[in-house]
Amino acid sequence: MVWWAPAIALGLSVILVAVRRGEGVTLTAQATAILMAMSVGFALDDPSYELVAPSPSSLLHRRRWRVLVIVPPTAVAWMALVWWQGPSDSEETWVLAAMFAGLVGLSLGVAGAAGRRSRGRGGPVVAPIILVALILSSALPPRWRPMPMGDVPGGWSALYIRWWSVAVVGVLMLLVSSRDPARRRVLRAR
Amino acid sequence: MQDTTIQFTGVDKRYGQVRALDSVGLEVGRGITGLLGPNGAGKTTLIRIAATVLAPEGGRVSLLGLDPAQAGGRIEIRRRLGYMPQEPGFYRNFTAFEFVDYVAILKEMADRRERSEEVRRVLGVVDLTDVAHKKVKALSGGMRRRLALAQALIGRPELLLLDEPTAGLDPEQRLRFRETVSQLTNDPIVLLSTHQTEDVVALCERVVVLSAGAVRFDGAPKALAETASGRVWIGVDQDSRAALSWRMGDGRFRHIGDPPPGAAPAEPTIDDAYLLMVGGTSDIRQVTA
Amino acid sequence: MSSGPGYAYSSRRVMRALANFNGRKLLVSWGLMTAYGMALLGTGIFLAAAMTQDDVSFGDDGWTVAVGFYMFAIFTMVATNYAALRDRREGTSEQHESLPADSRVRSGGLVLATAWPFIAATVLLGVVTAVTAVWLVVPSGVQLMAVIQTMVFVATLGTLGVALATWVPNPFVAPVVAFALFIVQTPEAPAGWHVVFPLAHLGSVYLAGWHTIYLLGLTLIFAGIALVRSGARRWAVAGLLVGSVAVGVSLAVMTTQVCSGSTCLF
Repeated sequence: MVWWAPAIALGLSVILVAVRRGEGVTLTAQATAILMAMSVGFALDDPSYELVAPSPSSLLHRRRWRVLVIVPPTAVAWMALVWWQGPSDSEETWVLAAMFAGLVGLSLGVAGAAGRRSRGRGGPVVAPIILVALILSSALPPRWRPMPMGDVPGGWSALYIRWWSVAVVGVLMLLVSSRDPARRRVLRAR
Repeated sequence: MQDTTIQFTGVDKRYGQVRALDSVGLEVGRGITGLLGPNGAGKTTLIRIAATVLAPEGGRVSLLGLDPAQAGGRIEIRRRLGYMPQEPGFYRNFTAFEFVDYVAILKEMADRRERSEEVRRVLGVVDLTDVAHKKVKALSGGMRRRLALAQALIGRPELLLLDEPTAGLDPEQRLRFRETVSQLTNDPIVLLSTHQTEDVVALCERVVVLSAGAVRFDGAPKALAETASGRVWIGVDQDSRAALSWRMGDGRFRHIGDPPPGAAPAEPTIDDAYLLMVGGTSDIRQVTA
Repeated sequence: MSSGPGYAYSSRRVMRALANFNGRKLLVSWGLMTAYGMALLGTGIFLAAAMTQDDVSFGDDGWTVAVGFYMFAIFTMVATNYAALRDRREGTSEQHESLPADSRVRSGGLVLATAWPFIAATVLLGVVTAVTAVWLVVPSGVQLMAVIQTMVFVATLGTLGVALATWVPNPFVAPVVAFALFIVQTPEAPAGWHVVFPLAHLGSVYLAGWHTIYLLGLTLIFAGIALVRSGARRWAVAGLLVGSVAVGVSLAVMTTQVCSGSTCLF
């Protein structure tokens, strides 16, 4: 299991929160969410990918266990950091949580797709892809930003919708990329 | 006069509690020398020491008259060395040409035109010219093995170290490999570590059998086979008195060990001699069909 | 003695050959492709704005040429880091130890290879600057210095990518640093800290010139850090010394100019 990436992310996040405690909760929470979500991408890396591919345990099943081991502790750690940082508007906190869920979902989706193409070694491309996605999103007008890091027309509900949509897209990517590689639809004989 | 041998004198190597090489003494000259032995015998360790990627803990090593323990000697040895590891790594997103080109630069071939010619030459030797511009990740396992051999052949090395070069190759590819190695034009010192006794029979003028870190045999392949003379017999039924026995293609059983009275002796092969020699390290006594 | 053709027996020639090889591969790597995309995005947004507005500037807030090439530099760092981690990633470290070009030469080749993205950025940025100068707006001296700084910044981050791979050989580190560079904002920091940051918007050609020297110094320091572990002590020490002097002197000059009163760095 690849714990070092979440460990590095958590360590840096703790330092960030410690330094900026009490100042600008939103910015720090966003930064720590991005850091920790980027690290989650390594959860699906599996050096024995080829070896266990023909095992009765399906790719989806194996990935499910990896996700269950890494994501909940990461989520708990992030929420603890947000709480430690100091008080914030409860509405804002829920939006930040939606943002975290969106980033984690996207991270897993990208890791799943990349891992399928690179035989279980998709982790290294997740962080750069998340970064590119955030940069491209910020280049769009606020009305069209799929991954908004600030206010957008439509207020809180728009923020919820967009970030949960990102989460759903990410999870769908993960599910599609976790289908059995040997799965093939047999066409009916003519 | 230039030294054209590699010499190991009392070489020791440990990995923790495990003694990988135990006071190994060996001198290898020009020609192809096979290194046979079971898993864990120390073959790869010996090859890696010869490749200057590992240092022994005791004893002396001399490669082409140079001391690999000295930095200057080590660099000079590496200029004249070709190494194909047991599990070669590749840059999977490079093309075959690019990968060999890169290794050629690391072999100090700085001139681009001459380097390209050399890369094309070695790819031709291993018959990979047609796939030179394909990415390594798109090559089959056999092609990657040949690519690993190609990078070892760059610069016509005087010392060629091949660790399990035919592992995973099909019979045709193994034949092609044997042809390639036997037709090397500069008559290098070739040390070939293998499990395949057929490779030893086909290629090697000399064979060294390693077991548990020590040399058990050093001589011609024919002499190795003769060590099993009188200790191989064939029977219709499996004989429990044999040290090892197995079923042959015609349904009879081949046995090795101390033959019982009246047993029909068989012409010994290298396999028989090898199994007799290292059989003490194996738990298998009776191999049934 | 092996009679192979083209033998250099000169580590500098081998290093140059390695640098050219690695540099060519870098230019077509996915990291640099992303970098080109970022640069084009920033340039495109800038040109679109320039068509509808007067007095646009390279240093404007929001997406502009400077931001586009700032991202170019960040993704160059990710690309050079990824290239420098290649041996570790693909398991070729040991077999390359059996080759005569030792770790000093290989590291030197990687560091020198960062010149290729620098040249690519220079060419691209030069073209953009020339086109906009002729067609839209004439950049001031300060803006030209901003352009030069951006080019140097590509080299700075390129060498940082190699240094990170040498000391912290982990594929997660470079994206984290990239992210940090992406979000770093210190509007409330004391004035002296502004000059420390890579693309400081300094108000005069004089300060911008010193800031460029500061970035060059950082480049040499990162190159020295990348080389010191490989055993290229002479070059590493030279890079670290010269780089430290450049950084020290330039920071001293800049902070003296920008600081007023008692609040400078702290």
